[in-house]
Amino acid sequence: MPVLGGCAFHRDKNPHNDVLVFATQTKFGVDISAPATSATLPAFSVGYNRSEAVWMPLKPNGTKDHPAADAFAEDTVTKLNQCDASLLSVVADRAKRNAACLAAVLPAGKYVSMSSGIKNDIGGNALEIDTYSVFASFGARGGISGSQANGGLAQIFATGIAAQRLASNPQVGNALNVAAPAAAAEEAKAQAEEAKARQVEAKYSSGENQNRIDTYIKGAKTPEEAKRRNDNLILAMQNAQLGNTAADVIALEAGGSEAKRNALIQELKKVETDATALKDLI
Amino acid sequence: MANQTGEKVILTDVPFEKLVFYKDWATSLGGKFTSVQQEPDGEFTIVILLPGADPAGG
Repeated sequence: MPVLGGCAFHRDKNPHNDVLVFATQTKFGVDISAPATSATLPAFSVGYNRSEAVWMPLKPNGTKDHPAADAFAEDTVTKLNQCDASLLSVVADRAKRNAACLAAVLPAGKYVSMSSGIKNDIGGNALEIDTYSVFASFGARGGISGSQANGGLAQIFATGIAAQRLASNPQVGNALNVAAPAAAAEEAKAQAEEAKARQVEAKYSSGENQNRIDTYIKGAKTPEEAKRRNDNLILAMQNAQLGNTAADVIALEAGGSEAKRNALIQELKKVETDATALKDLI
Repeated sequence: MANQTGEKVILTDVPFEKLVFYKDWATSLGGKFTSVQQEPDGEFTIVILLPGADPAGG
């Protein structure tokens, strides 16, 4: 840190006297020790040590030949906003107005640009001086198979427009999060269960027997009657040895052969006891 | 319940006039009509998610 401090704050020799300094150090360790009474279980140790630092000059101002940083920023923002307002009725495209005003107002050699937020509630619509747009991400993940030792570390650093863009995307936060080991295990388990789900595919093909099945399904006037007819369909599918589940029924109705649909209808006539429902199958 | 994980049904070449029918049917089966994608020829590919099925019918 003494080296950084010398560079950052030596106002006379270094014009970058408005400096952002960002530094972190992270230590992470996992130690699994076997019980003293057991000679069979091994002891694991995981160590992690990391340091990172950012030294970022913000404005090359502050010598006697240049106005003070705050005065410069305030004055430039005022001029940029006045320029933008004057061009508003002439140049509809905001990006083009920004470019024109930047060229007209900003003096050469200034490491600054003009920007507004994404929208009114994210960064605001007012034009502001933006110095540097920086984004950095540091991440690490560790683990020991068999010992159930896991760990995760994540860190982000953003300034200026990058920070606005980052804040506007809710998925970024989720993506940069390191899930707790228990939550990650639950998520993996859920994904595995989903992968095991049975999938049925069918290519649609119409037919008279399909129309009869459709009429039977659409003939239910209440949710209870719909459930009763759906249960009958599944039972008829099983009796005809055409399938076991609702997915099989849908696949047969949509993409089965007319012969198989006819077999389903014949079995359905055997299990259906309601006269009105039977008429729908004719 | 022999299968608690649910089932996914993917139907291709479905005509427009049958979309409502499959949506209503999926709902009556306790499932969801989760995806509709129009194919280049104007027909549709649909995805229906059904809850854990019970082969016993109950």
